[in-house]
Amino acid sequence: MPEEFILQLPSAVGPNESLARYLTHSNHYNLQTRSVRPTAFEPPSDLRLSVFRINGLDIEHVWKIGQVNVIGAMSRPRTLYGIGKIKASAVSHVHLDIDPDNVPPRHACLVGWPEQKSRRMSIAQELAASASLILRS
Amino acid sequence: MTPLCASNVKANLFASHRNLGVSNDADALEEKVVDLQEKFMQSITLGSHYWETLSSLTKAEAESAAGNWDGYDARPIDRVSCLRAIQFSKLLPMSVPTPEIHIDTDGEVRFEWYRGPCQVFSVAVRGDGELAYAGLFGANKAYGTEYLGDELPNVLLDNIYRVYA
Repeated sequence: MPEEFILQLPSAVGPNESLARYLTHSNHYNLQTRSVRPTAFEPPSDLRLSVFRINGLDIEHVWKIGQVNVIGAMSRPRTLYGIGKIKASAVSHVHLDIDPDNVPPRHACLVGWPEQKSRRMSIAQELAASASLILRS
Repeated sequence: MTPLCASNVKANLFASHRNLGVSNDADALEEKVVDLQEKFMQSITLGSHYWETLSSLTKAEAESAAGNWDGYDARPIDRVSCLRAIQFSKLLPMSVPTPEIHIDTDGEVRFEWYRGPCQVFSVAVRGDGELAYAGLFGANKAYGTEYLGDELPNVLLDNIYRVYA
């Protein structure tokens, strides 16, 4: 991991911090409306949604993190389409918490998802609505 | 006679209704209904909605046949959910736009009507017939659970139309 990625971040995630959800499937975004789709924010079965803290990084570093830590960690080849960028305040708005586990550096998980699937779907829709789509050119 | 009494807004010629009759006439009537449905399915106009849904489902099924299809450890498609989804698609009235089909990270089939990030309604179909739904309509949201039966639950139909209101 290059040193610049391991820039010291506060242990707690501030409300204005930017978080990136890496988009690894074509159904994670919609080109026509240039928006992030709710499927991008659906939590996995362990209910820990993986994101990265990207404050202080330029976009090339954001792509490098995604390529190394997300795509590189996958068991089969995937495409990195872009990111859904949200503010940490949007996470607390839907009553989720952020666990800044920092493994790998800058990694965090959105936790505190409800058990009821329909509520999780609703939260994913709200997160997607508050996200901005940045595609990798 | 339930099919003949169904409200127009829910009318779907492919919906299968349970035959509660026990007479020979009831059996004969059921056979005729099935026969008619098969004819309707061959129709380009009447059958297109159903075939488009089936086509999307087949494509989604192929993409998610193996686990980790999204790169985030998603489960492979749930075959039982898939069968239920076909049943659900038959309940969709021809008046509603054809939904997009996705597979959820838990392997369940999802129907989605999407106009934009703030105009979206989704229904996830579980293998046991549970329908988890959620929608975002501007500043308003709705979510809940229904069960798959002979008719499309009103709350789902209302929310589908809200996406296009």
